[in-house]
Amino acid sequence: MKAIYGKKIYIVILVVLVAVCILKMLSPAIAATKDVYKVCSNCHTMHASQDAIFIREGNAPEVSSLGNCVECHGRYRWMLLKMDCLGCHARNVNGADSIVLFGDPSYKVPQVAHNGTDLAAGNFRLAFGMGNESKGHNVHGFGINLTTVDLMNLPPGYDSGRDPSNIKYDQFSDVGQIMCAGANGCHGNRNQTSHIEAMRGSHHTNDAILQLGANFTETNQGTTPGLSYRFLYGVHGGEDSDWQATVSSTDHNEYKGASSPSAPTTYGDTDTISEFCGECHGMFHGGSASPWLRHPSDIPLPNSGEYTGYTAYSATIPLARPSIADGSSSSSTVTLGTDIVMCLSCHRAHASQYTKILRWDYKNSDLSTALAGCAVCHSSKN
Amino acid sequence: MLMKMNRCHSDKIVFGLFFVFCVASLVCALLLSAPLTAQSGTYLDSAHGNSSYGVKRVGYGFPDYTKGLCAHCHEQHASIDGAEPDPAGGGPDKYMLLAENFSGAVQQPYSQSHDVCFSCHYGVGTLQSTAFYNESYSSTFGGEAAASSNIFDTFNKASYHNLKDVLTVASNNWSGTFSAANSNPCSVCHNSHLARRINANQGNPGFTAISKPSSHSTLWGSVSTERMNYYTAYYRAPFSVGANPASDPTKHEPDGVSRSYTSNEVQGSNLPDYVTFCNDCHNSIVSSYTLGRNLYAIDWTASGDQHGKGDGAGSAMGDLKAPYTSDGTSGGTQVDSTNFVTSCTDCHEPHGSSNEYLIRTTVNGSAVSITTSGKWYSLCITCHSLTGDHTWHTIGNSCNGSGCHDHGSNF
Repeated sequence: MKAIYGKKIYIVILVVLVAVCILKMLSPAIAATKDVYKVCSNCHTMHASQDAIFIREGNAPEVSSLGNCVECHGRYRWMLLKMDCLGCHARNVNGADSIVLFGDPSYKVPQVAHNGTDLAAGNFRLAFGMGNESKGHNVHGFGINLTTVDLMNLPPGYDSGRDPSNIKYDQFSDVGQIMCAGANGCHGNRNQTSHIEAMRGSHHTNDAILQLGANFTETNQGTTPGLSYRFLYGVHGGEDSDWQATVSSTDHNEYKGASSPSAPTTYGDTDTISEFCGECHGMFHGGSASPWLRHPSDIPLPNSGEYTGYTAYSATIPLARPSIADGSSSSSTVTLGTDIVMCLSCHRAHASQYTKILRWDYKNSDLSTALAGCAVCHSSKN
Repeated sequence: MLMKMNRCHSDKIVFGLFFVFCVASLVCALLLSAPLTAQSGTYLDSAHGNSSYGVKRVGYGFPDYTKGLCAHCHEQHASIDGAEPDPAGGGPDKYMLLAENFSGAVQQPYSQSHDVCFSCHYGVGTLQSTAFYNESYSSTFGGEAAASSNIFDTFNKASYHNLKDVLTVASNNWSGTFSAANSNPCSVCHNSHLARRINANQGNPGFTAISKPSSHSTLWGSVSTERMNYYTAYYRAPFSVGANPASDPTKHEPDGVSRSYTSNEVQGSNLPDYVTFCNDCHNSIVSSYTLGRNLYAIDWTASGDQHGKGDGAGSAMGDLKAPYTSDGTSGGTQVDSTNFVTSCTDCHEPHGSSNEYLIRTTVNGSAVSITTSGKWYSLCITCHSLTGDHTWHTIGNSCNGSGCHDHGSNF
């Protein structure tokens, strides 16, 4: 009896091992997939039907015969997706949660529009009804809240010669607004017109190398959209685990910068966050020395004069790093002459409650408040 | 029992630590939640940076920013809502300024576009939201009637500080601070982020508007060691318009307040040391494109000019008028033992004048009009009575002709 029981144990173990090997051979990607994305049905639907109920989630209305728009507005979304970008990332615009637990097992999804504590990139809800205040990128998908009339459809400072996308930004697109991803967007591969195609595989990528902490390394960052900082193709950086829901001088993203600005000519050569912004705002990214024609970006903050007043990392007016060492965590240390002024030193990425997507209230009627951001670096102008 | 007491004691320790933690957290939360604000500092104290009377540009495509904001002078991207705001000049300008810093114009006539400062320091057509005036020194500090003047018009007067010459001298002497190709000549004497509003605070040198070219990052005149009474013990402020020369106390420059000649203010405690300031440039040879020659190097030392520390006491030729008398009044006697020292601004305008050589139109409370070149009689008699060999001088004669009375002459 004892011998038969022992034999059965060995058989079970053997079967399990074989099953694992088979699975690994057939689907190597599964072994590399983040644990949280293993449940496919969180995002995908095989037949757009569950329990005889048609599945089509998210707010993009169903509209027929819309060409490429069908990827979100069609009856069946591309890549068997249940919802569009905002279906996951703006699940409840009026809700207080900036991070939503979603799916089974539940995992954290950063929200781009909500009524709670802002994350690092800002909050599109703050830009609703912004008119010409330019409080946010007029991203498509929020309907009347962010309309085509709120901003022009050509990014300020756009220079196609500085846009490394081989499709370029199309200012005459029917949408008239920026998309989340793709050639007319920010995230994913901007060599794709479709913003869903642009993001293909990104969410499935094991991006441990981007997470600040023991596994962080810049090696291989930027090689795919999924291995790029916040899915911004090519960009390096260190991702804060909660998207700066909690933020301090020792708890924040780490951005990549350069000691002098450059305009990548081929896609994928981008590695700094300011170079990325320059893909669409290229005229604003340039200049290597005084007298400056435009505010410096991808330039080290000098270790002299008024700039010596910047002594500790400011999460409100952050600086980028020329490199981020393996295993790095967020650092409060500032090295003047090395750490770098970047676009995000003054602006949020998505939106803010302030004009021109600035990080502080530049239009406040109180001059001290209006100058507060400038004075962090320009300490003699306080 | 012992165990119970130990647990009780440890509970207290835990509670105490918890209490301290709560208090510390509360304090941190309060501190960290404080909104980001600039501390009051040098720019906010400046004329440009003041939230009540500071810079405020108006123009097509320019937002309604609060007064004093950087954006009024500096355009971070030379683009607002996709286009360059007024004055739209075909692209960004150096130092991200709203217009070209300095065109390099070699002389008059200046136009508004020649110097970025003229964008606002201008008459009709100023980009400043509310029209404002910068009167002459004679008016602001000497009491002469205001003429609704502005800096631009002043630099287009008969005599003026040639802006190109100013920048050339500065870039030659202080190349680490000023560049002939990139700097603004106004900034040679004024740091636009520091200069304060002395024209509304005439008697308070803490509101000085000037910075020495050799020390651009600091104001000059704001501390006691940078005042005329520190430069010399023999300074006496001229009368201002409306003074009663027969009386003491009476009105003196720079603020027209009635004071005794013995007061610290009349002795120069409320006047920046303009001698040291001006001599940053003028104590050496300065080339003048306007005049086509070099200017005389000013020597205000004891071995130099008699209007300076050079010994001019006891002259039998030209008695001094009040307030340069024994009691500061017209009834006083000559003080042969006192070698009075003047400030450059006692006689000269800093920007421009309808008189030649930037001679003021009001000196020591009296009008000065030099209608013929070189004939400065009306200037000299504001402070001097003519005696002895000078009785033959009339208004038609020249004081400084034939090298009689010039900077550098020994009588």
